[in-house]
Amino acid sequence: MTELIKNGLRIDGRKIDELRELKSEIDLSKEATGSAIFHLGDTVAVATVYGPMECHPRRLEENDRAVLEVNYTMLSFSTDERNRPGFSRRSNEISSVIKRVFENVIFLKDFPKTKIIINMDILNADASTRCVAINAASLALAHAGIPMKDLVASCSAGKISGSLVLDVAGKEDTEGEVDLPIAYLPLTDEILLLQMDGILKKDELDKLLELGKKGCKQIYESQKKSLLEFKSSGQ
Amino acid sequence: MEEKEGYVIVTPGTLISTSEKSGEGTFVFSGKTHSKFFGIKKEGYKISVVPFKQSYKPKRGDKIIGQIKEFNYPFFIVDIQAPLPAYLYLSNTSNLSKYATIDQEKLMRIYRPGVWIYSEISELTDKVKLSMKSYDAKVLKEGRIAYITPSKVPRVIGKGGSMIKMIQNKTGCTILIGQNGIIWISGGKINLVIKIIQKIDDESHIPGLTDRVGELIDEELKNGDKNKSAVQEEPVNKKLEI
Repeated sequence: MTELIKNGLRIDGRKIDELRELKSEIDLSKEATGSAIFHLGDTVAVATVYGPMECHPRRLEENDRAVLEVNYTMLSFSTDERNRPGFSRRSNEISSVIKRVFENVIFLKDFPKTKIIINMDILNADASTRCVAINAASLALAHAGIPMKDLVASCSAGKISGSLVLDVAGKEDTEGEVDLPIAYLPLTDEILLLQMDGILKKDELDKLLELGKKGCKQIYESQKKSLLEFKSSGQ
Repeated sequence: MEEKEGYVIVTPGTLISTSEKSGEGTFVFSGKTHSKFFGIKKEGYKISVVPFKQSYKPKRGDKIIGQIKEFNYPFFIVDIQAPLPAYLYLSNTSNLSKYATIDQEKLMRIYRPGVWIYSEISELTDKVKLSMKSYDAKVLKEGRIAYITPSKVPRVIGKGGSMIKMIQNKTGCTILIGQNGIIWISGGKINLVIKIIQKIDDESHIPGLTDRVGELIDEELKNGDKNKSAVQEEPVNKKLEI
């Protein structure tokens, strides 16, 4: 096993509390109501939003609020071994977890008897794909003109060879001890998604949450910046 | 939040006021007003946000343009670019008394699927109901359709109708605007009008819009005349060569 942390630097040369390179772009698709792409290092996700529209099948319709349909998929070329296309047990689970995130953010009562569709496709997977998918989806929702409390920012934190790090990537994900993705709403200071695999002490968990929130705030600023740049570039 | 000359761009969740002066497109969280949308801040008696993109919310009394989708016995289903479709009942298609017999066959010939109509929202219950009883309601023939975000419809019309009057005078088109963001254009220079509407949709938040649109029309008309004369000259020259 290779050493994951040497002289305070990680395999890819980052510091312990440093994010990978951030990049995002808005308005990719003409057909969708809103769309965005988000890069976090080598992990890339595209999100498209359709609606609000009529709800089919009708039995899912709610009388006083809109219904969300969230689809998370990893495309077949996103991993180093070919991924079987279509829905799997894993993608169904992540879709339902992300649906609960956005149910707390969107003002669903503004659109009774309708449906909003959020599609997220992972173009390239290099750890923390669900975080990048959430970041892309919240940009696409803002572009589609859907009323929201705030932009959702999300990133992962973890424990690698005994030390706590921000934004787990590549080998750290497979060989590390703990991986903890969080989604954070800066306005209300709420955590909307928290999953963990591995074992942690209680004080370590508190420290890791603080670290995760710090990373989310950086991502939130970058999301805001890309939205403002999109409009001021004369689009 | 970013400030430019005369306008401020806000993203969802941006703090826009420390008091509860919440107008349209905003919400109050712990005594402070925040933005709901990605759009432009507007200050008046209350602070509101005009979104860059928005789906149409039907209101009673709005004049709208819609497309007939299908007939389903007592009503026609009409697509009005809102989340839910609108319904045009047979009894609302004409001004005749309610005891008059309705010629259903004839109405089905007039309101065929794919036909565009200009009509008014008469009732807003759980269904959106349309009415053709108002004096300016009509079936639209021979024209083209353009789309714009519903929140920018007031900018196309301008102050007291100044923008729409200018466009109609300079291009010779007849233009009908629905509150749902669908625009019907007929006669004159249709392609130029569609170009102008696209420009308004992109740049409506930057001040001095009417002047810029006026300049664009003058420029295009000049170029158009040049192109026309060039096109007319070419065949003459070819004939001479032969």
